[in-house]
Formats: sequence, C-alpha cells, structure tokens
Amino acid sequence: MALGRAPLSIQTKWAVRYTAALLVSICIFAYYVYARIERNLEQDARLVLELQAQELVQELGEGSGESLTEYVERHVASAEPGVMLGIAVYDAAGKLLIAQGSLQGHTLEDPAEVVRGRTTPAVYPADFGDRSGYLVLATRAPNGIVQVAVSQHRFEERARHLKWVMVLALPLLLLLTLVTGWLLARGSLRPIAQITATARRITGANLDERIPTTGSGDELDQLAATLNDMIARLRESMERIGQFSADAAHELRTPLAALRSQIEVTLEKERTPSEYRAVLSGLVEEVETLGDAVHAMLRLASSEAGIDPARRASVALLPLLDEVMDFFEPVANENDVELRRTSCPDVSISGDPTWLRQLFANLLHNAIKYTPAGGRVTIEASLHGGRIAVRVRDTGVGIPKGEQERVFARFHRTGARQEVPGSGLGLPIAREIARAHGGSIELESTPGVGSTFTIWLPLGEIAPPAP
Amino acid sequence: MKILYVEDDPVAREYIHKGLREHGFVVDVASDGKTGFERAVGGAYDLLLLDVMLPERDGFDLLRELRNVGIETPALFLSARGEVTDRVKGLNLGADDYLPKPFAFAELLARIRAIARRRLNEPGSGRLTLADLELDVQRHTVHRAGKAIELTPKEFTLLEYLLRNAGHVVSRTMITEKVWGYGFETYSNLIDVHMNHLRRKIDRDFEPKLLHTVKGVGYVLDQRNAPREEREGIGRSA
Repeated sequence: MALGRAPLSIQTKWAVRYTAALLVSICIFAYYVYARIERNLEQDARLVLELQAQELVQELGEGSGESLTEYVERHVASAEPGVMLGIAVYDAAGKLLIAQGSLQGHTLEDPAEVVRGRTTPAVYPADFGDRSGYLVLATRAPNGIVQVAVSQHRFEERARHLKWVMVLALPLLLLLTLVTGWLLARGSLRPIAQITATARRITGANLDERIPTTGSGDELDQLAATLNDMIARLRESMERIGQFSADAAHELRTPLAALRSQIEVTLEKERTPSEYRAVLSGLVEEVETLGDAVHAMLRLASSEAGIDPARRASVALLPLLDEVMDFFEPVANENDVELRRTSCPDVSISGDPTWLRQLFANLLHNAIKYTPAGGRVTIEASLHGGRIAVRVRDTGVGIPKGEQERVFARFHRTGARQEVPGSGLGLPIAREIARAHGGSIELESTPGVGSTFTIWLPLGEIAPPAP
Repeated sequence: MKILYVEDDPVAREYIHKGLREHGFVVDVASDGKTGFERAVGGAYDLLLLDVMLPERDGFDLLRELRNVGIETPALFLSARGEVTDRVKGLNLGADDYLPKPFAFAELLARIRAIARRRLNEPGSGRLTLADLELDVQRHTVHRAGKAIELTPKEFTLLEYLLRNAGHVVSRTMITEKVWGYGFETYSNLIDVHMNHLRRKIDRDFEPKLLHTVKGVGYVLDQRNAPREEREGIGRSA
C-alpha cells in the first residue's frame, strides 16, 4: 500500500520521466552504434584476409623470384604482431607445402574439399586453442590452395573497449540528465512554488498580498493573474462583509439597548397587571421591528449570493410593473402622490420573479416615501439595444450630489431616523438584486426638483431547461 | 385538535407548547427529527408543526419520509430560514404552510386555524356570503344589501380570501402572500391602506360593520363586533 508515503513532487516526477525518456533513447542509440562498429571491425578483418590471400595467389601464379618459403616467412614476420597472421600453402593435390604463423598446426584437414567445391573464397571463424578467435580464409590458387588466418583479438579488443566505455558512461549520463532534469523542472516550476508560498500567507485578514507576475504572459503568468483577480475580489467581498457585520451589529445594538432598559426599568418595582401588559405589548412591537431588520439583512445577504437557478424564469416586465403599481397605488393615494406609468415595451427578463417584484417595490416605495403631498411618481421603460431601462421618476426632495452614492450604502437614511421609517436596506437590496440579474441602478437627482432611479436590466429569454 | 410539535430549541418549545395548550390544542412534543418521525407514525395527529433545522434528521427530510410512508397529516414548517427558496422547497414537499422565524404567536395561531379549516372544507362554492354581503366568484360581482359594489381585481381577490376565512383572523403577512404573492413581505404593514380602501367600499355605508382590525395580528371579516380570536388574544393569562 502506498498509504502514508509522501507524494512525489511534480519536480521529481518530471526529472524522473525526463531521465527515463532519455535513457531509452541513449540505449537505442548506443546499441545501434555498437552494432555498426562491430560489423565494421569484422569487415576490416575480412578485408585484411582477402588482401593477403589475393597477394599470395598472385605470387603463386607469377612468381617474383623469391622462393615461396621466403615470401611466406617475410609476410608473416612483417605483419603486425597483434594480427597473428598465419599463412599456409598447399599444392594442387592438397599436400601441405608450407605453414607459417598462427596456422602452424592448424592447417586444413581436408584441403581437397576446397579444391573440389569452393569457387569463391570462404571465410570462417576458427579457434586455435589460444585465447583469441581467428578468421580463416581458404581459396583456390592457380596451382594449389591458399589458406590465410588473422586473429580477431585486436578487433574484439576494440569492440570490448567500446562496450565498456558505453556501460561506464551510461550511469554518468543518467545522473547528469537526472540532475539537469531536476534543475530544469525546478526552474519552470518556480512560479508555482511562489504561488504556493503567497497563497499560504493569504488569510481572511491578509488579502493585500499579490502573486508576482513575470509579464511573460505564459500559462503560469496567466494563472498568477487569475489568482490575483480572485484575491482582489475576495478582498472586496471580505471588506463588504466586515463593513456589513459592523453596521448590522451597530444597527441592532441601538434597539436592543432600548429594549433592555425598558425591561429593567419595568422590573425595578411592582407594577399593576395593566402596566405590565402595556410594556409587554410595546416590547412586542420593538421586537417586531428588530425581526424585520434581520429579515432585511438576510434578504440582502441572499441577493448578494446570486440568483438560485431553480427559481430563474422568464418574467414579463409589463405585468410585473403593474402588479407592483397596483400594490402601491393606494399608498400613493393616501399620501396624495400621483402614481402613473407611461407606455412600456412588452419584453421579458430572465430572473427571479420574487426578487424582481421586490426590486421595483423597493424603488417605488422609496420614491413615494420621499415625495411630498401633491407630487408625482412616474414609471417609464424604454429599450436600449439588448437592455431595458426602467425609470422611477419622482418630484420629491431630491438628493444633493455628494450624498447620491451614499443612498445605496447600508443603513443609510435620508433625513432623521424617526421621520422616515424603514430598515435602511431597501436601496442596497434593490441594487444587489439588479446586480444579480446582470444589471445596475443609476441615480440622477436635483435637490428640490426630484430624483430619477434608472434600473438597467439585460433582456433575454432563458435557455430551455435541460431534459 | 391534536398537534405534534417538533422543535429542538427548549425555550421555543416550552413557550409555544404552553401557548398552544392555552388555546385548547392537545400538543405532543419531540425534540429531534428521529423521535418526531416515530411519534408522527405512531399517533393520529391533525397537524405537524415542524422546525426545519433539527438534529438527527431535518424537518424537510422528516416530512419527505412521512409522505413516502403514506402519512398525509397537514404540516406547517417553522424556520429561521425565511428565504423564498426554502419556503418553496417546504411547500413542494407537501407542507401546507411555511412560517419564517421570528413570528408573532397570533400569526402562528391564525395559520394553524387556516390549515384546519382548509382541510375541513376545501373551497368549492362559487357564492360566498356573510350577513348581507355577497360575492359571486364566477360572475365576479359583489353586493352588499342588494347594492352592487365596484371593486378592483385585487380588492376582489382580497375580499374573496377574507370571506373564505370569515370569522377567523388572518395576518397581514398571510394576506400579502395570498393576494399579492411573495416579494412584498417587507411591505405587509402597507396592507392596512388596502384594507381601508376595501372597508370604505363594503362597510362605510352599511351596518353592521363586517371588517375588523385585530390589533397586532391582522384582520377578520365577522358579523359580530368583537371577533372570537380577539377575545382569546395572547395577552391574557389562562
């Protein structure tokens, strides 16, 4: 079982694979080279034999004045010692005339065979009892038979030498490739080691680190850039969560403190049942407000998490706007605010119907809340390419330039808390819902004239659900 | 009415149990999903009151298993998970209602009673009447003391819902969910404005008054001036 064994690093794996691949190539190459050289050496040996035989045959045929014995002795003597040249000559009847050098005592047993059969020079290996192998050639001459032998010792020596060089060089080569492979792998993996080291240093509290990029634009550089983007996004989210938790805690602390003092003061002395009842029903109301605030925070958190794919549907805009207007119509009437909608293109949005309802409800409610009696809230919608712009225009108090971005901040309320009720999360929730649908909300406002919130949403039918 | 209440939080369990008993319900409790399942299989209950996040086996699982073995007891989920996804999940499993925590006790009572009524008489008849108020579902007309009353489509749906629950308190949230659908929960306090409009049309020029506000809970459509549920309101001790 491989359990408990440390996993091999990629670097080591690469080095080992690289070495293995190289080893196979080297072995094939070495084998080929060795086979070629061995063959060449054998051919060299044959060539020497054939030349000697040819010369001898010529000598026998023509005669140079030198006696046969002299000739043979001179040749055997002048040959390189390692060659161990041997020469034997027979007459046409097969009788041995002379045998010199290594062929002494190893002459042909049946020279007649050569005379009878072989027309071409035959070369065969032979063993003369000493340590080297011989190559022997026997051939017919014009008036007899010639036999020549050379030792293969020299050639064998060379081949053996070559073999040893190869066998000894191989482990060295292996070691060398292993080391280079390891170093090469380390070089190309170094960015990964850096990424790992940086990632180790990154925690929820420390998202300032960035992985160094080389600017080469290669795969690892792209990986580093992608991870850096991810860290940046995480940092943004963490900051938002941190800010939100702090805001939420603060927001809940105030009513909790009020609750607590109410309870403590009531408990300080005996009260009549009706007094208790009055305090308790007051408490219920405050707890309800707290509960609403928590609900709003949850809703905000879930809208930030994105749309649940199971709830995504194609939502027709027109009926949705009418539904929301229908809900707020009596409220607007009550506040003496005129609510109306101009013509609206008949389009559909891909999204969560409940959330979209909530989005428009929040904006409409906000507009009605901040529009004084006698004012007007208008809803308009128009197409801009692949997007729809829904404008909620009011003739309300307006928002000064410097405060416009802050209306989308959590728990922000324009005006004093007591004057305008609400969780302070209506617009942040609306913005998150728009974002979750791939849209955005813009605000234009002039103090004293009114505000226009523009909700941009991408159009588009949803893909049919997979079967 | 016999209720099985499965809740792991001891404080909630004790108070809800007490509250339900004081309103005349017979209540058995269980503190985890496994025990809850055994009790639900063993006893004949009229209603299951299930917390969603339970030890051993969560409320969703519990109900799914019960439905699998053929137990069709009405169920109401109580959960701190108030998101629409969870509600839809609960209702799809065959629950009758889903109430996010924290809730008003009166809201719980109203919903329990609504479930009990729904099981007794499923909506069938096309004509709903209360005293001299008449609503015809098919012809979409409303009359009070023989006089035709013009209602907007939403007001009509609202009145129909109230009439189907005549004599029983319905909460603002219940009204919002049933008449306008999910998405307006945040604004359930604005239901009062709609109610005032409806009241003006069906009650202002007539006697007796039929539409009553129940403080801290919601509304009731009733002939009597003091609706029953208000008399047994939660402020009273047993």
